[in-house]
Amino acid sequence: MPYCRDGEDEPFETVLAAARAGEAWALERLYASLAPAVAGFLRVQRAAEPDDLTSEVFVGVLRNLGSFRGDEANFRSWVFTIAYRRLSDERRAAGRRPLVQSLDDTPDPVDPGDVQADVERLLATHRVRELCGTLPPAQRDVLLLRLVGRLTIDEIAPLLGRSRGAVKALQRRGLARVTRRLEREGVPL
Amino acid sequence: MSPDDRSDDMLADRDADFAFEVVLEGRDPGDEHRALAMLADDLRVVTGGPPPIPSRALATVLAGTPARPRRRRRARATSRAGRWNRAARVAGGAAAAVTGLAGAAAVGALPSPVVDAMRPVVELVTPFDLSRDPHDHDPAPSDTPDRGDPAPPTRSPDSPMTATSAPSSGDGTFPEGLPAAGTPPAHGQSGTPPGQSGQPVHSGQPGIPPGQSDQPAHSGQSGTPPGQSGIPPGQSDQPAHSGQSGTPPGQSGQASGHSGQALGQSGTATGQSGQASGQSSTAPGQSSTAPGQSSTAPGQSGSTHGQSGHAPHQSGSTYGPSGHSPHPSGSSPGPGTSRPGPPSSPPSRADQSPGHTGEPAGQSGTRSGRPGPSLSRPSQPPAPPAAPSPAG
Repeated sequence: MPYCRDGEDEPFETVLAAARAGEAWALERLYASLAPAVAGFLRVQRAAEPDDLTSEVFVGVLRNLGSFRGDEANFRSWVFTIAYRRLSDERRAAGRRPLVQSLDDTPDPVDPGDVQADVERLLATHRVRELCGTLPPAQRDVLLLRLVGRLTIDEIAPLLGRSRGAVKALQRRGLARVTRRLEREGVPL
Repeated sequence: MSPDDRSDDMLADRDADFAFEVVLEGRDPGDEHRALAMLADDLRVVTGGPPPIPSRALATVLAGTPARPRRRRRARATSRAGRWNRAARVAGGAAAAVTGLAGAAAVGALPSPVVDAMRPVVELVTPFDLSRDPHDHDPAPSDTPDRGDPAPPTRSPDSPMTATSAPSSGDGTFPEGLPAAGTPPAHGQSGTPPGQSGQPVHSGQPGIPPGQSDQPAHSGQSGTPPGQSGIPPGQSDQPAHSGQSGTPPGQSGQASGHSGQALGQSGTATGQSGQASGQSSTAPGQSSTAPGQSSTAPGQSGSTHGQSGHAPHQSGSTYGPSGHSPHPSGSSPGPGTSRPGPPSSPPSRADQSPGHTGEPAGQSGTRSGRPGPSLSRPSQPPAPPAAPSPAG
């Protein structure tokens, strides 16, 4: 996603420097470029409050911009790393408190602006949830971090606390399981 | 797991990794990984769309808040600095006020109660000694006119000197306040004796009993100028006291002692003595007697002598302050002294004894410290006016 300012694209470095200086437009740009991906990632991961959790993630991200070093790809990986850790924290916290309502029954937020896009998004979310629901958590995490967060194997390994080979194995097994699942359901591949 | 299986897994891992890279690049991974392509497409739809509505905390951050914490810190720092500044200002103001009061007290510009309150501070912090306030002595001279009365101590109760004098007169014991007279180095010594020629008053009074001969001692003092040098050893015994106290009794015999003291004092002594000598025909013998009496410390002598003793004490006390403050004594000798007491009293005193007259004169002598002027005075002031008032 291009980092636009007043209709003009700005290089990531410029936006990042302005965001570090507290420029509102730059902060807004960073949030708008990655917030949807983070929110979708958390939603597919069945976070209880994906939007609230997304806000928490970006509060941490924007307040710690000074500690970030790297390019745009690294920045995306850094943001999803933070998102995954927040998600893990929420899961641990959820395990200590009773579950009042099933996440499947919770309606996803709908943007009244573009109904068709919202419906497509809602259907896609439902499918991905069902598909990922058949995967073990580790495989699901690897697949989502690879496809949504665009993290490399080397970046995922420390995040999951596994070796590089283990992450590769999880990736391969997860991909194989998804393929079998779609073939079984008769989805034309 | 056999090596072949391992090699197969490695190939499968590499193939899968390649498929993910192709999908992430947006290319078609092929039919073998069609499922991965479909999953990636759904994920793009899920992660697309507008960003969620930020929470309050995030909205605050997005508004450019990162700099706020620093501002808060700065504000806190400035507020703290402001507090310290205020405290420093208050402390400085208090210090200035105390300093001003102390200075005013040292100069004697404050009323006696305030001076009493400030005395410890001034004495502790400055070289000034406020133990005696010159203003307090003013009334004394007027009280003392009656030479015969031991009462003279009627000093203003405020002044420490009066307190000392009163007890001394009655008991003959020295209260703490007396130290001025008793203690040589005390302030009482310096100024008091000479100018206080009030003692001389006793001496000057005719028919004064031998006990009062203290005054003769004064007369003896009178002899001091010339005689001081030739003061008998007996007198010289007392010199210590006399020197200190400068009080009348001792003064006589101590004349030398006075002389030994500061010039101003010595001058006063001499001035008194000179007057005494001039007026009183006190024979050297009297003066000699004086020494015997005077052998008792000046202050003591005052006490022992009873009435007469009072006079010395008072005089010592009263004069003490005057002695401290050169103003009265030095400024103007006799009537010229600003104090009302002296002027009125002088005449009477003069009658009685040149010593009284000597007060002013003595004061003058103190200021000058010069034997000459003091000596010359005796003839002038004393005799005529004094006779009528007290003695009569």
